[in-house]
Amino acid sequence: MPSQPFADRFLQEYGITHPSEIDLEAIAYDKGAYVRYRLLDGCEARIVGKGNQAIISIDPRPIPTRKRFSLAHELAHWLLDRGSIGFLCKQSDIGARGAVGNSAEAAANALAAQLLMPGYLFKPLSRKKPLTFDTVSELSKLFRTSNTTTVLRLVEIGDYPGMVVCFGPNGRQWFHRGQDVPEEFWPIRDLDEDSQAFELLYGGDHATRPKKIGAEAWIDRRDAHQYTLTEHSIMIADDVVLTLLWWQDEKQIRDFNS
Amino acid sequence: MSNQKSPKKTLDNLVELLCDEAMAASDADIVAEATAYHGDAKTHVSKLRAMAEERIAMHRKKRLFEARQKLDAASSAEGSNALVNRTLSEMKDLVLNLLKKRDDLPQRLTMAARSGESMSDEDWASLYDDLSDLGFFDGGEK
Repeated sequence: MPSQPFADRFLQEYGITHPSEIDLEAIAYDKGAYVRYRLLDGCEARIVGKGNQAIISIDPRPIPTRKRFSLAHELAHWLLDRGSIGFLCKQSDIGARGAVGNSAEAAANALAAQLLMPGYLFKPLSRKKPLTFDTVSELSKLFRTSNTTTVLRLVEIGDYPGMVVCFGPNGRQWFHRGQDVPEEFWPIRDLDEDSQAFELLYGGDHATRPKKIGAEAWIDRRDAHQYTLTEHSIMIADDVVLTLLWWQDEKQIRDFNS
Repeated sequence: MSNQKSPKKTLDNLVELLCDEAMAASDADIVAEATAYHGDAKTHVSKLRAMAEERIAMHRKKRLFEARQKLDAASSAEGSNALVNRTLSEMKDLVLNLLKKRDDLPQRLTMAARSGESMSDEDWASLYDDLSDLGFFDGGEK
């Protein structure tokens, strides 16, 4: 039996059996880290620690899901580097799509996502749920997380193969594959005119429903025209579209793997 | 001297006998007996396990509940702290001196504070507060 991730074991020690019980401030306090909400100009969140005690400062101005992620991020720093520590974390450091690589910020982001959406709670609640933004919205309300943070977790540990792709006016900004999607499957760099994402970004349509689309509109592979996938796109900023691709019919993946 | 055994001794003997009997029985015998008394053995085991898990979860939840209570009490008390009578310039100097002396604080914080990188006056004051509350100035500099 594979060992449970650290965040799962850690939260289970507090008897947490529902997302609403993830009281990060109380958990931080129990671990010696006191949380203060105060205006910060040079960073979005900060932690200073000495021995077993730390003070976490969070800028109160961002939206609640953002503040919650910042708190999870600083708590993660504390759990990872307890002792004499100090981090001034900028906006670009914090977030599910924040710092990447092997930096301390990337490690804190990864642990933060797991503390906010521990697998042992997230998996049962997302089981057999379609890979759409309706599911993302439902889960993000339960876990008090942003759409972007939630969709990344859903693709990462959800039941179905999927991919998240973010497009802005200059083309593809970033993407993230679920673990069941082959690494050889790359999303296109420029939006296909038939896609919902194109319609949202350039046509001004703001309400979309999940729809079946030829895989060639999204996946850069020669045989993609033989397959379909389900696309659901939403606007996450004035000129940024987030798309969730769901291999509802897994034939393309099965054929590739066979 | 009476030959009568004490009730406790009798009970101990009975427990010992029952344990020996249970240990000597095969798994199939135990399941058959449990089924005869409690119905489906698997269901009964699941119920017992669920009860045990619920008790453990309740005990653990208490820890979180108590942490929340202590935090709320600490938050209420914090507002009554006396204000530190220092000028901003003094606070900056104390923080910078501390960071020069301490090599165990991460470079990132040290660099940002030394260069004053985007730090507003409020940032300096709150950083001083935090360092002070954590006892970094307990050497008499506070």
